[in-house]
Formats: sequence, C-alpha cells, structure tokens
Amino acid sequence: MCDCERALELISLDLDGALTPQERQELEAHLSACPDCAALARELGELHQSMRSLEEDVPEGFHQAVMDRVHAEKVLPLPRKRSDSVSWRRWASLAAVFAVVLVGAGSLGKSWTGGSSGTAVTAGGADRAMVSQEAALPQETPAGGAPELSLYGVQGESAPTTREAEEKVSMNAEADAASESPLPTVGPALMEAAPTDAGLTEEQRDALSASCAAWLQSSGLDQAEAIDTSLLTVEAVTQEDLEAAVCSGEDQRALLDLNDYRVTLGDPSGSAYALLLCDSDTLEVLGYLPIE
Amino acid sequence: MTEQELVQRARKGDELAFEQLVTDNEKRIYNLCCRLTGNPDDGAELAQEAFLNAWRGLEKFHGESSFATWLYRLTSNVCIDFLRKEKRRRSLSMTLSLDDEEEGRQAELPDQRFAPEERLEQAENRRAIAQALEEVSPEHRQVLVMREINGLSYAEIGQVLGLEEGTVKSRIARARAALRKRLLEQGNFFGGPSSTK
Repeated sequence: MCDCERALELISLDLDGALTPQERQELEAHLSACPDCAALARELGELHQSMRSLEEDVPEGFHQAVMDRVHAEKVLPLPRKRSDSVSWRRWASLAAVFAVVLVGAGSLGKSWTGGSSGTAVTAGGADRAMVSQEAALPQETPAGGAPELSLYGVQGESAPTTREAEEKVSMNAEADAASESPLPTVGPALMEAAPTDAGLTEEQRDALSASCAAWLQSSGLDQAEAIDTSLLTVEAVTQEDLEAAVCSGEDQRALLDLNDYRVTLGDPSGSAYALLLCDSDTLEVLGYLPIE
Repeated sequence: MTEQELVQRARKGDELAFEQLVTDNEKRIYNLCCRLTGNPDDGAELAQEAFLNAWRGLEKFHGESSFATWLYRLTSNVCIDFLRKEKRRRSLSMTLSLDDEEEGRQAELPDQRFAPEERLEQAENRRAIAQALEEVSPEHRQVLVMREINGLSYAEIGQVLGLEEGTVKSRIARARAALRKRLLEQGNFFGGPSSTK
C-alpha cells in the first residue's frame, strides 16, 4: 500500500524514468485516490521540465582563461612522497649550502634576488581549499633527475612559494641533494629575501604569531612555557588535520576547514612545540593537533 | 583519444590533452558552480579554480572513477567550501545587508534561445528557480543541480557524493519537494491549483 511519503519517492523516480512497472501501478493507484499527490506530481513535472533548460553554455573567454591559468602554472603533477616536516628556514638553509658549494666550484651563474610574497598562492578561497591536497614534495634523494617542487607546502612540508626561489633551489639541489649534514648559519641578507610561509605577508605572520602565543599562554597545554613562540611555520590545513583536530567548542570546529592554517609553533625537532589550527580570515586559533 | 589516454598524457604535463578534458567537462562544471553559488561571476571563478586544482592534483586521480566524476566531486567540494565560507562571512559581518547581497547574487544568466515573449517567461521562471535554489539547503541544491541541470545519473551522483544509490534517490525526492515548496511560497510559478502538501 502506497502512502504519500512513498508516493513522493515514486513520483521522483518517474521523473527520471526509473520506475518499474509494478512501482508505476502502485503510484497510479495512489495518485488516482490522492488529489494532493496528484498536484504534487504535476508540479514536480513542471519543475523538472523547467530545470532541464537551465544549463548554460560557458561564457566567452572562460575556456581560454582556464588554459591561460594552466599554462601559467610551472608545476607538473608529480607523485606524492611523504617525508618528515621540514621548516622553510631549514630548506632555505640547505639551498644556501648548495649555493656556497657552487660558488666555490665557480659554477653558480645566477644571483639571489630574493622573492616577493607567494604569487603562486591565488586569492580565491576555493583555490586554497585544494592547496592541502597538492603533492610534489621536495625530493632530497633524486634518482637521476632534478627534484621538482610544488608551489605549495603540504603535509608538514614547507617549500618556497615564489617561482624564483623554486628554480634556484631546484638548480642547487641538482648538485647534491642527499646530504643532511650540519648547515652553516644562513646570512641575514638571504633570510630577509625569503618569502613568507603560505604566502603570508610579514604583517600577517606577526599577527598570527601573536594570536598563537596568546592562545598558548592561556591553554594550559603541557610545556606551553617551554615553547619558543618566535619559531613559527605556517602551512595549509589538510584533511587529516581536520579529522584529528581538537577544538575548544563546536563553533570552532564548524569554522575549521581546508582554507585555514596549520601553525607549527616552536622547534619541531625537539619536544617543545605545538601544532595550532588557525582561521585564515581572523587568524584566531580554532584548535590544535595532539602530538603523539 | 579516450578520457583515460587524455588523463595519462595530461599527468605528464601535456596541456593540449588537458585542454581536451576541459572542453569535455567545462559546461557541466561551469553550470554546477553557477547554480551552487547562485552567481555567474562566483561560478565562473570557482569553475576556473576547480580546473586549475584538477591540473595540479592529477597525480591524486587513480582511475577509481571516471575523470569526469572525479572532477565533478572536486568541484562540488570546492563550491560547498565556498558556500560555508560565505555563510560564515555573512554571519560575522554586522553591517552587511543580507537583502542586498541576496539580490546581487541572483544575477541572471542570459538565455538567447527563445522568442521575446517566451524569453520573458523563461527569464521569470529561471529567476524564480534560481531564487528557490538559493533558499534550499546546500545539500539539496547540490543534488538538484547534479540531477536536474547537469543530468548526472543516480550512480554518478552516488560516486561523486560517496552515497548509496538508494540514499541518492531519497535525497533527490526530498530536494525536489523542498524546491517546490519554496516556489509555492514565492507564488505564480505553477499553473493550476496546488496541493496543500
């Protein structure tokens, strides 16, 4: 026996041509006895017809705009490799070592001109929603080829976010990318030229640092006092982060998404550090990741 | 060349192969974005971003579904994230006039296919449906756009959303009822006496 709730489902299936003969009989029997459902069927049919004509052609210029942006990308899709989190500073330090080696060998032909803030990070929030999904981590032991870099840091990795810096690191890493030996102190000129994490300006980074430090102070987390809040690395939140996040309330959890930042506060090579999750608009700390 | 072959070439950096994939999918993706956001400008921007993200993330596509389905899922997630952000921005902004923003977002998509009188009626219907689409939940809007406008099958919708086909059927039925309810509240969309449901 068909009731009105069942009738709605059958009406919907009928619109999509998905009714079995038995179901059609069932529906027709109900519609003949229920004027409300008969009107519902008629109106949903009208709506179905109207909506079918709503599909539009893409506007002029859309296709070319897509391809222009694809062409402007210098990143090739590459297999993803998981590796330990490396701060951007360590990566820049590694690049500086190779630069010193190559200068010594007389083969460095380019000058370090520094970089502006990450132009590869586009303004659209929708784009950043996918940032954390991207691959192509710096490969420290290339097998016969130059390591290639993503323009985005993922899964704990931070990479230079300007094309200039990317090319330089790639070029220098060709010489010897396998070494993890102690690194010399990077000169202040090089560090000043370094682009900021995740495309943030210095001002934003400072504001984020202040927000995280203030939150940490009131958090009651273990070793909060021991964490050096001047050390800060910013990356995009990943899906895994969302699943593991500890938020102080449902409101904060509802606000947390893939457009937001994961901030490593302190030195991750030791035990005194924290992983905080911050809103990309307000820079408010929404939660943190437990450290195992 | 098959979709699979195009994807394999595109993964190696072949922009022409990717361009063919764009051509094959742009209409669906553009319409999905426009209808989900209710705004052709936002829709066009998000659709471009979706293709760009697909290009960047091709190595993450392992052939578990068709490329079109994967791209559709990626785009759908991008749009839903955008809508959540927009909703959050609206709730945080105390000075924003929601009425003004609603009006601005109901920009018409031009339709040059019919005679003037038909075009006017079509335009009215489209405006009414666009407004009603904005008023239903994002989850209902999503399945309505996929089924009614983009013509995805139940199986394809299930793949995109990660749902069983039975769940897809139920959601579509409820979404249609919800949209109809909004149109009834607007008035003047349906001919003939309406039900009281």
